[in-house]
Amino acid sequence: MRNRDAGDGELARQAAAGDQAAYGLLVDRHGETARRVALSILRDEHDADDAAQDGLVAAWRSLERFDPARPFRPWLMRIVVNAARDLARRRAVRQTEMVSPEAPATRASPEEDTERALLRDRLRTALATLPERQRLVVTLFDAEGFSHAEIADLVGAPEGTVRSELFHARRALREELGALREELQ
Amino acid sequence: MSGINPFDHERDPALGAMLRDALTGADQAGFVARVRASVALARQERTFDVLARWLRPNVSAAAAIMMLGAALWWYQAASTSRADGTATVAELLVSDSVPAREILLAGLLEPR
Repeated sequence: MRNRDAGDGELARQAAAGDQAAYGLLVDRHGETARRVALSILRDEHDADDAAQDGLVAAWRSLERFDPARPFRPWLMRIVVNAARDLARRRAVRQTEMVSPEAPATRASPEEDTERALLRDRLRTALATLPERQRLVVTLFDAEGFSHAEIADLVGAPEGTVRSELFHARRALREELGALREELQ
Repeated sequence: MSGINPFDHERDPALGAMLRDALTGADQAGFVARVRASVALARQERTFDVLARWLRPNVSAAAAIMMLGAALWWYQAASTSRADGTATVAELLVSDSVPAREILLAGLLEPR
């Protein structure tokens, strides 16, 4: 298909003109990141999927306001982050009941490698203990490849704050994963 | 993983991979299909919104023009009847002023 090779900006332009297939390709490209970013905020897979979906649909509705001169992905993720934060506010009570360090958000499927499943659970547990902004910053930087400046713009904080949040998040994760490594040895 | 250094502002690929693994949800294809369906629905709503936005002022304008036309017609009809003095007996009878005697008589004697 001709569209598959097009850049995000070009697809966004086509989508803004009403090309639903072009937006479908953008969803294919960035849907997974949107789900991870939403999950880093909400810590519940179903809520994260709802928020990511809300964000992606909201972005479709707002495409006329997208500036093609700017990168598409941070613009899209800002909408997803806002959708996730809205949902977090609406479900604040439910969320505090659901997440605790002793109760990982999901259980690994039986066929998953035990060590990998353990790592996955412990990492989710460690993430759950971090403040929301630290979770978001470390996910955006290390998992999704956003720059400090992009993250600062996205979370509405100075770049120095982003670097500091990244430092604290990584230290916490390092401690948790270091403890796990000792357990496994 | 041993390379996680909180002072390092370079990306940590090992941590990044672990985070992606921990945060990636199941059934990505299903998720994309749901989003595409929602977008299709949103597009339909948007089309209806556009139509509604277009229709609302136009219907209002048409109604206003019709009302204005009706008012003009009524005013013209009323002023014409006043101008040529051909008010009907019924009009004269319901008007505030007392009709002249001959008009009352004409009303009674006129063939029906």
